[in-house]
Amino acid sequence: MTDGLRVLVVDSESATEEVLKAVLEPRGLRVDRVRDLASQPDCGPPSLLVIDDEKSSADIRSSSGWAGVPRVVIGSAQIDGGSESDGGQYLQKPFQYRELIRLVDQLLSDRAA
Amino acid sequence: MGRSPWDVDLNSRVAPFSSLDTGATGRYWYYNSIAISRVAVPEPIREKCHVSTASILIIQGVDQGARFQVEAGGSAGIGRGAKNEIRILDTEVSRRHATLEYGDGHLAITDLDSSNGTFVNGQPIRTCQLVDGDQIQIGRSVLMLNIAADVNESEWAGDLVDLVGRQGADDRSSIVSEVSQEVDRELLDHSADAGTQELAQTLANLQVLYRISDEAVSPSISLEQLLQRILDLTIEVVGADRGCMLLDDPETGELVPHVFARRRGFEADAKMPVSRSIVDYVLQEGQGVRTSDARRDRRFEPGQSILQAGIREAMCVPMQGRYELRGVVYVDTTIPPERVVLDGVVPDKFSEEQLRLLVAIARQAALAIENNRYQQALLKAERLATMGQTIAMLSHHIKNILQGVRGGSYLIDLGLKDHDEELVHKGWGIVEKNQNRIYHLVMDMLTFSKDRQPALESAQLNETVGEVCELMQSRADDAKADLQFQPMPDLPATVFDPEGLYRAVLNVVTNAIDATEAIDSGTVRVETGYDGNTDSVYVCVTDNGAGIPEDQLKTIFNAFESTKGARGTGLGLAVSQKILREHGGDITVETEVGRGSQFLLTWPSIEEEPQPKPAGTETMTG
Repeated sequence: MTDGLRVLVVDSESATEEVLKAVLEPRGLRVDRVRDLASQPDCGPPSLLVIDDEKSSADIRSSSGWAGVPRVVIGSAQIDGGSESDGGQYLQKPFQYRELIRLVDQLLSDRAA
Repeated sequence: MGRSPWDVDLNSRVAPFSSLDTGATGRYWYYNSIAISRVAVPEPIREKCHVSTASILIIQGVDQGARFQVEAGGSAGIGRGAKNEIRILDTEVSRRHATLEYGDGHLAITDLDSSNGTFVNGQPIRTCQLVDGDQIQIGRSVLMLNIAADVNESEWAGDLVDLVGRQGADDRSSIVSEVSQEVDRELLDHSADAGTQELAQTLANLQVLYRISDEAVSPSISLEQLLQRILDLTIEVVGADRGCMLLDDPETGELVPHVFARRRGFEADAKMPVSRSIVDYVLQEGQGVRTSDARRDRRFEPGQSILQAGIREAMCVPMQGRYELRGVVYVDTTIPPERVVLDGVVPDKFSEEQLRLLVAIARQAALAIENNRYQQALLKAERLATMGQTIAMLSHHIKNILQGVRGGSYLIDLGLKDHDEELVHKGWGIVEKNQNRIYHLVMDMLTFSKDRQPALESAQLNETVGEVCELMQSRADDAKADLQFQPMPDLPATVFDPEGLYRAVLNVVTNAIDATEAIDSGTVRVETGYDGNTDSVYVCVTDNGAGIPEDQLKTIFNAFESTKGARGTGLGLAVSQKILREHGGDITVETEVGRGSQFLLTWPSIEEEPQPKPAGTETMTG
């Protein structure tokens, strides 16, 4: 059910990407990472976004085609104007990876439903 | 026997003047049988200037060292409340105390009906236009205003001065007379044989002022020492018995004796009495006063206490700074009873001239105090800023590294639970990687913070650099970069600090590899060599990464000036540069955006330490 799904991590650090890779790739998902939005590859929007960068999160909302992509946003503070309706989940730093995996699983199953 | 006002100690307060009667000359006032003459103190001049961004530095108060800016055309609220742009956490400041606003191109401050009022340069104001250098007092805090003049408006001296050439026909002036730099000493010599006593005194006074100004700008002297010296000089030149400086304590607002001096050979049996009422008068009026406890219109009758105690004269002048009164200088002298009897009418020991001199000296002292306080505040501001920056950066990096350790630990935990060895390995790899990152961060911090002498020894540069490349191989693989090590063949042993250079090269190579991350065919070339022309050794690291934009180039070697989202610690290049400079060398960069960068680490070839000769052999010279 999760084959062909692509998770894109937007993060200047590699830890989150590596953890998600280790957990999700055995399930058939693909996990990629870019440092920031400026360097996003030209291929289409991913199935799920994990953003460790508040500024990028705001940028994504405005960029076409990606606005509807479900995402987990990791930040140090709550972002104004965010709500569950845009498919976004928020995690406060410092966070537990257990929690991140749970949110990712939830968003993926929501999508499948 | 009347009670002498001189016995009033400093802490008692006497009622202020309610009425004054003028003496015959119109220049004297009487108060409690003390004759007083007054001298005005000149007002400081405020110059208007053009306005651009204003910056505020808090030079006194709990927020001392804090800095704020008000953009040209903007405004800022000042107060204790959180909504103020300039927030001052002083208990005597109102929640909304005052505002700074630009109007008509000028910055003005307006008091918002605060409880304790707003003061500009010591004067209470409702609203007031401000100029560069003004001081604003709010509660117990003092804010100093700096308005940078527009650069375009200032004229370059080069446009106004014509340095005429040696052969120029325009330069017809010839030297008429010369004066050596030692002229100030000559002043003192001449004053001894000056015509009249008045002239001699004037010259001596000038000499003292000159010396005091000289001392006041001396960089090594402490404020207390400076004030002491000024007071010693003062006692000497006015011929007083003793003197003291009372300064206002910034925290309590109370007048506190700071320095005391007495004439050589003067022995006092009690503390120097300072008349509180005179001091208050001086502070209130901003005038310098001469006092005498002799009545001017009476002869002395034998039996009076004066004949036993002599007559005491004193001078008290305000220490008028640029912005406010800093305190007072108080000197006194006693005319012995013998002289009183002999002379009948008592001449003034302290003259009007000396009072004026004292006023001038006091001003110098006040300026020195203000200067000192301003410098303290500047230093503190710098320190705070640096500390803040350092701590912010370090926390950021440590937080990220910790997150990495958490990630690795999570995978290990998951792997152990699910009996998935693969997961455990992956997790461990992440933990180990972050362990190394902490190690390197700490090593960089230690190197950077210490003043070190490099531990020089004869070693093989190719070996040291080779070790760096070996360590960096996995990082290069992760970044899909081709790391090439091209040492100079047969490079002889040279003298350097292997640990230091290892660290320096490591940081530069790390940077280079990271720079190629976004490039598909990233290459990092590391070369070593010796340059015979300059007799120096070098390591050269070249990458074909993104290159460094010009505005960043100026700051890449500054500690913690990392670009947004940068991978490094912000310390790496700063540490490398420090180590190279410790070797007497440096790092230079050539870069082109879109093509890549080349870092050259070079240092002069260091002589081998001469081996100690066995005893009995001839030592070579040179």
